[in-house]
Amino acid sequence: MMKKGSFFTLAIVLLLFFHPAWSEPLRIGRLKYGGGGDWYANPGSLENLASFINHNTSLTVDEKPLVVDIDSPDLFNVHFLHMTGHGNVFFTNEQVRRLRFYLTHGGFLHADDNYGLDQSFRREIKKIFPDHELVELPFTHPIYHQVFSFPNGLPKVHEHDGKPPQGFGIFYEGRLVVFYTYECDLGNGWEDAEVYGDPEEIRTAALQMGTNIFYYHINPAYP
Amino acid sequence: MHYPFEQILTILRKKEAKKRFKTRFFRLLHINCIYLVIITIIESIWYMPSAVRWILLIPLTGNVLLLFWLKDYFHEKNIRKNPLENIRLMEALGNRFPEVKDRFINAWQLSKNSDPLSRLAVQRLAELLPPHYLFKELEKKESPTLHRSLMIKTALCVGIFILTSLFLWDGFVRLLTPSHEYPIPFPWTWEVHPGNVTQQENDSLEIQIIHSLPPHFPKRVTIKESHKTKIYVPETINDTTLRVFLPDLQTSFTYFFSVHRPHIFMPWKEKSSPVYEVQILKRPILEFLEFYVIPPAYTRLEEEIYTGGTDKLLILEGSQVNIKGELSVPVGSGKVQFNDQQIYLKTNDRRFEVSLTPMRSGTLILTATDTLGMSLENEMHYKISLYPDKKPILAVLEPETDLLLNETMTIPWQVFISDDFGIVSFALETQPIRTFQQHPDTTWKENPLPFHPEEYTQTLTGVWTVKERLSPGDVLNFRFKVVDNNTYTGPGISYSQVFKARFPSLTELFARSEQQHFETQDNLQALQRFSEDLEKRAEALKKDILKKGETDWLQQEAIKNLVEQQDTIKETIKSLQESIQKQLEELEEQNLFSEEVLDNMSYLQDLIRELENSELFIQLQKMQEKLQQEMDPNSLLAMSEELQKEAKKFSESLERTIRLLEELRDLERLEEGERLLTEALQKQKTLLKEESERTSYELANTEKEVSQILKDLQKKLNELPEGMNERLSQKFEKFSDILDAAKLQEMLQSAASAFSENERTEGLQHAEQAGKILEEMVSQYQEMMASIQQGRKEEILQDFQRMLHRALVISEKQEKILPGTQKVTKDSQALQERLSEQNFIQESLKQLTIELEAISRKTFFMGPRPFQEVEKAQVLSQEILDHFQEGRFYQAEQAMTQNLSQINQLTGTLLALMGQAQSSESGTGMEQLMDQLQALAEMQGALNRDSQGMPMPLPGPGNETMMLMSELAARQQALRRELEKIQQVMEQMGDGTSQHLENISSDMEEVIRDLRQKRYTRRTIQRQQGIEQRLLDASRSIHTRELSRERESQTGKQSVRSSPEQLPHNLGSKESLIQSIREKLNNTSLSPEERTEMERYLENLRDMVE
Repeated sequence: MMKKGSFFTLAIVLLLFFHPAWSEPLRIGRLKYGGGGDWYANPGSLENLASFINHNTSLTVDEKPLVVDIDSPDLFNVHFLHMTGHGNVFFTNEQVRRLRFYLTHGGFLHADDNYGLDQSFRREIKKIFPDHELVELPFTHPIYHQVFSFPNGLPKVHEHDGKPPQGFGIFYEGRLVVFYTYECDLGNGWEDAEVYGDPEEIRTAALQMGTNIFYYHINPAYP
Repeated sequence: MHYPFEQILTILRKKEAKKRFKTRFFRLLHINCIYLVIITIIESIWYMPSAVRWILLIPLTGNVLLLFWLKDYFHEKNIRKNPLENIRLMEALGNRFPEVKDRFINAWQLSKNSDPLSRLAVQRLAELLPPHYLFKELEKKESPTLHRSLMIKTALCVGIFILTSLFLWDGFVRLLTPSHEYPIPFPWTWEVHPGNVTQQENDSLEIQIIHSLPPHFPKRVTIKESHKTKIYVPETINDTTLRVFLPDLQTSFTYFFSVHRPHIFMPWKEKSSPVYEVQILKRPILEFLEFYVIPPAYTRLEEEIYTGGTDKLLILEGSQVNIKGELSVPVGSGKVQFNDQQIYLKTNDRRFEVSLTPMRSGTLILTATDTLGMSLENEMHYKISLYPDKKPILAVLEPETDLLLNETMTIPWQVFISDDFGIVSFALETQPIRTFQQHPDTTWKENPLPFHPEEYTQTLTGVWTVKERLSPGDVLNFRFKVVDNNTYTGPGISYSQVFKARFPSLTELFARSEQQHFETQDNLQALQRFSEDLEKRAEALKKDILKKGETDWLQQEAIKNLVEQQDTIKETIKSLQESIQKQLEELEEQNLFSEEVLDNMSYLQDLIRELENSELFIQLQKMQEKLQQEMDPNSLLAMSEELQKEAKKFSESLERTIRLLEELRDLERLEEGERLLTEALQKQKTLLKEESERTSYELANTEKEVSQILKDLQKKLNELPEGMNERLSQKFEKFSDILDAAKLQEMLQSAASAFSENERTEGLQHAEQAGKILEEMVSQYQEMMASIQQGRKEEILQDFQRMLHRALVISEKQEKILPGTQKVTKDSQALQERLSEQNFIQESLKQLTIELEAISRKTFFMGPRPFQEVEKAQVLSQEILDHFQEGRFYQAEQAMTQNLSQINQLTGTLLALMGQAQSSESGTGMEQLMDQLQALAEMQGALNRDSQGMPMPLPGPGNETMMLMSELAARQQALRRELEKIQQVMEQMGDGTSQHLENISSDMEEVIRDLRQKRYTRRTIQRQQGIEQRLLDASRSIHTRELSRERESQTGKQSVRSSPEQLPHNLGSKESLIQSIREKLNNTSLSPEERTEMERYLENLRDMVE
């Protein structure tokens, strides 16, 4: 009787321990970088994205994203790193080393051009991955078809230079480690509706695509 | 005598009748046999029908004659019947006996008579032919010949009959059973395919007959149409198969297969199959067909219509083809097959239509059927050929060749562009190639250029200002790019050849910058000369008026001329501003100088802007207006004085600006030296690092470049400009000597010579030595710079201290003489003391002004505020003196009180400025503000995060929440106070960013109000986030002067484009593949020349793969 009781208690404890409510939520980090660019742009975007993921998938994401300094240990505490801005990006040599380590050891970076980031981002990412190029992902790539389907690729949120939106990736040992969205402006689409006054379907499409990107990285089918 | 004529006759008659009967019988038998044989043969061959057999047997009924013959026998046997016969017989008998002949018959005839003659005759006969003889003769059998032959014949016939009937027993039996129908045997079979069938018009039909007929049997296939009948001889495929092929069926028909007997000796003449029906259904006819070709929207072409008579369509890629047609009957279904695409037709009664957008050339096959399933006679084939949208045409008319960038950093260009359907973008792409980059960035940056979107062909001209941050020696590759508006397959892009714009070397840049400074200085000096001239003229005019009470006409004209030059002067000032602005932008891009230099230049610009707003121009304007009218001497005098005063102020401002410019120039010269040394060191280090990868020739060249840089530096150190700070000049000279003593040039030249002679080891030794010395030189130079800057800073601080001391003394003195002033009396000692002190104060204030001016030429810390304050103090001091003179002691005391306050304020200002100078690196102050704003932004960020830790929506009033909000409000208030302090400092320095900070401050106020009212909404959060953002922006705007783009937040237009190509197999890691090849090469023993070749090959490989 005692043995049965102990066993039962242990089972309850284990069950509670592994209950999803107790497991640590996934964390999104906002990359703080040097160079003078506004790394802090779209301040409300990541909270909205996290909330959308929580409501539309079975994932649990912390709805208070962390601001991550590259030199801080917090870099290795986030599951998904996001960067955006309009201006200059600059990584020191040490930051290049740390970012490369993070990305080649399971990390993921989503860079979203808020209009003006392109030149400096391409220059700086080349420092992190000098031997790998940004390649444009075809519309059939799984990242466009995770939770929501985008048969025509990225949604065009804001006009920028009027070019079609493009999604570029850097693959390291077959794994997508960097996803760069250009001429798209997903981050603006994740902001509150009253910030830019975009149509609801555009915002929804942006949030859905953001969910896809997050889910793609988390999805164990794509190690 | 009795002759037995009757007996004889009886015998004869009997014999005759017997004979006749016998003959008849045999003949009948004969005939019967023959007939039977014949009909048996016929029957056995021909299998007669029952009726025919009956008919054939009918003649056998003729055998009934036998009965008649039998009757005749008895009749003929009776001598009483047919007397003629008796006569004949008797006559015949008589003739048998030649001896009697006629006598016999005569005798017989006479025997009937009883007359003696008759009897005699009889007797005679009896004598001649005795009756017994006759009877003997009569008993003799006749010659068997006749009977024999008949009997033989008959026997033969019977025999034949028997044989035939035995042999053809079946036939004989059939004859004997005429009522029975016997089927005509036909042991062969056949099958006709397809039998009854329905075909479509113009179809063909193959009739196949599978049979077992002998080959020699004639076979036929008879086709019967409504009006005609055709007979075909089927083609023999093999022993058992026949075939008739009927192409192009038009009308319905029936057909059957028949086989005919090869000869008449077959019981059957013809055998036929059943009649089969072939029904031909009429096909629908295509009444009309049209192709509507709709070109892609971006071409703005109109749709084209092609009729069905066209069998080829040549269309632009991306065009939509709408096919519309009509059949003669209602359409059942149909489809269009194009390559591997299959699209079903939309039908509406007889009409049909379909749309498709061909992705590549191919053949379109249209098929349609009516409601009965009848298809068109033929599939409609149409060849659709796609032609691609041509790429746009681009021809560069200018520049024609590579070029060298000048100080304007501009590239004039002229380009011809053309496209068949429209151009969507035209840009200039740049690719900087920097000298120290081992792996240059090969990314092309796009810079849009203006063009006319509505025109398809245009020649465009413009001037491109290089925005790249280039360093000396860098090369800017640029090319033009034009993109057409093809939204279907993707824009067609044409590139021009790649041009190179070389950025001048460091030395050239510095020289250019210095030249610009000289020009600015010249302009400022010209302005100064104008101002001095104006001052002199105003002084002369004043003297004239005072002396003569009127003005000289010449003087007036001179003043007029000067006044009229004010517009030119203003233009000069404006162009000075613009040139400094341009210079500033260039220097920012070139990164030639430090932030301090750039900040100082910016202040210089502000100073020049102040010149533009000088009171002098207002006075000049007034003077101009007045000179056009008649003016009384007094007004003219007053105006001249004012003009003189303003001209003097203007002069002083110019002087200050010129001095500051010289300071700036000195600072730049100092930094230039550091920069040149650093570049030389960098080149040397790179040489040592990459020695193994470079050829001897390259190494020798690099050493020569380094040597040249040092020569340029030496030249700079020796050829100092006029007016340079003496201490700086001494430092430069000293450093120049050190540089000479280090014998760096000799070492570099030795290294270069060694490398040129391919003595790499020796060359490397020299290079290493030179590198070490260079490093030492750089370190020494930097120390020298630091000491100069420190010296400057100390000098500035000493000046501040001096001014502060003076201000404190003035304040002390003013405070000392203030009490009891209103009670002094005229000519009293107290009054005299006060006058003396006040005069001292006035003099001290003048001295302070001079000192302020002096320090303002050394540092950019000094805004207008201290000058304004000291001027106010001077004015008040003068008022005090005037009041003392006039005996207004009460007013004097009031003025003293004001002055004291003013002087204290001035002291505070000086103290604050001194404090800033002390804490800044070089004494200029802007970095400090930047750091403060950045720190403030971080504190705001922390506050935001803590605020968002509160639950949303707030759970209601509760102690904990209220306490938290109060704390947050207090923190926000503290941040706001800090911000206001920064704002004040910036205002003192005349920085425009302070306006910006005011907006941030008001937002902070809103947040504080929300928190105090325990109200924390989404709007509050947004305000907080905005505050943090703008603080960062403000600090960034001081820190960097990047050109910011406007945030384009216009909602994007969704467009559909084709997906990019599949991912490359190497997933973008071709660079790593090339790198791995490079690494392998490094481990081989290739010579540097070979390595260079391989490197070039790898570069081409990279470009090719791209």
